[in-house]
Amino acid sequence: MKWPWTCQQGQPDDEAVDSWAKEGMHVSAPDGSFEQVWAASASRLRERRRPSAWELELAIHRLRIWIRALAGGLAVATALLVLIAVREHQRPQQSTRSGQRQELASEAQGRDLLSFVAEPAAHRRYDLLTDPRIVLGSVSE
Amino acid sequence: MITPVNFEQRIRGCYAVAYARVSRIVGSREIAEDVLQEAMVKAWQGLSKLRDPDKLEGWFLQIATREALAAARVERRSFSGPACVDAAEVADGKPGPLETAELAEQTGIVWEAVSMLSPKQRAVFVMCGVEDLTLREAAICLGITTGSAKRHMSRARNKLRVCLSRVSGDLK
Repeated sequence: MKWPWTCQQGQPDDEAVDSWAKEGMHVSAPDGSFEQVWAASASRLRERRRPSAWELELAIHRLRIWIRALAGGLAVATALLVLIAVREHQRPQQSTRSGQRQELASEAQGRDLLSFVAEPAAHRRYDLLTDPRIVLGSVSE
Repeated sequence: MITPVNFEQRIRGCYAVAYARVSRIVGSREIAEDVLQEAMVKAWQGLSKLRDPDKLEGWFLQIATREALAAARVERRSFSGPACVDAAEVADGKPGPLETAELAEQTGIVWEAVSMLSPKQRAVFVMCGVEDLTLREAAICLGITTGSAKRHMSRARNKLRVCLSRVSGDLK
């Protein structure tokens, strides 16, 4: 190997530096290097495709957590639905009761009105006698 | 469409170049093989991103170079240099023990000088100074601008020039 700079004076130029490095940095791949590296790469790719035991375990653990969360959510949703259904079921009964109450109230009002009509001189105060439907002591339809 | 068999054949075809480049950048045979392994895995996994299948070799070299640069940054202390080269490989014919020893010493000096460069300077110098690529090609390969590649190349040459002058003076 001949060293390019030894025959030159002063600072070596770019070419001298490059050729010095080219000479000194000669590298060639050893025999079987490609096969070795290729096999290792292929093996890594296979490993990546097939998950390892701990990865499977982790996946199962996560799946269990998801299932539990889903079951919890479903239970809450069912409870809410039942609550809504019960309320909906109770509502018609309440409305029937309130209807009855209204009827009773109107009946009582009617009675009040009759008593009011029966009051002496009421017909004069409110000119009830001019209404042909009203007969003193009762209300005709 | 690149099949696994086709992929293997083509990577095999450019393996020597990739190996030499990566070894020069990382300065260690073991790390170079690790880097090339990683590059092969990445190239295979990212094959769908390769627009032009004809450029597979260049693309693989680019991946390998960038991986080498990353490895050189991390493994700075592993730059063994001369261990990367068997002195007998370099010599023409069958060298005698004296020639082999002299050769080992001389290559050791070169590798030591190159180890002084930063990983990026080394990568640019290896591509442009040793492999005779253009600055633009080196810049594209490393994902930097041509101006930046030029600066790295200039600094690398200056550092090596100083080293070379010193060695030259010693030898004279």
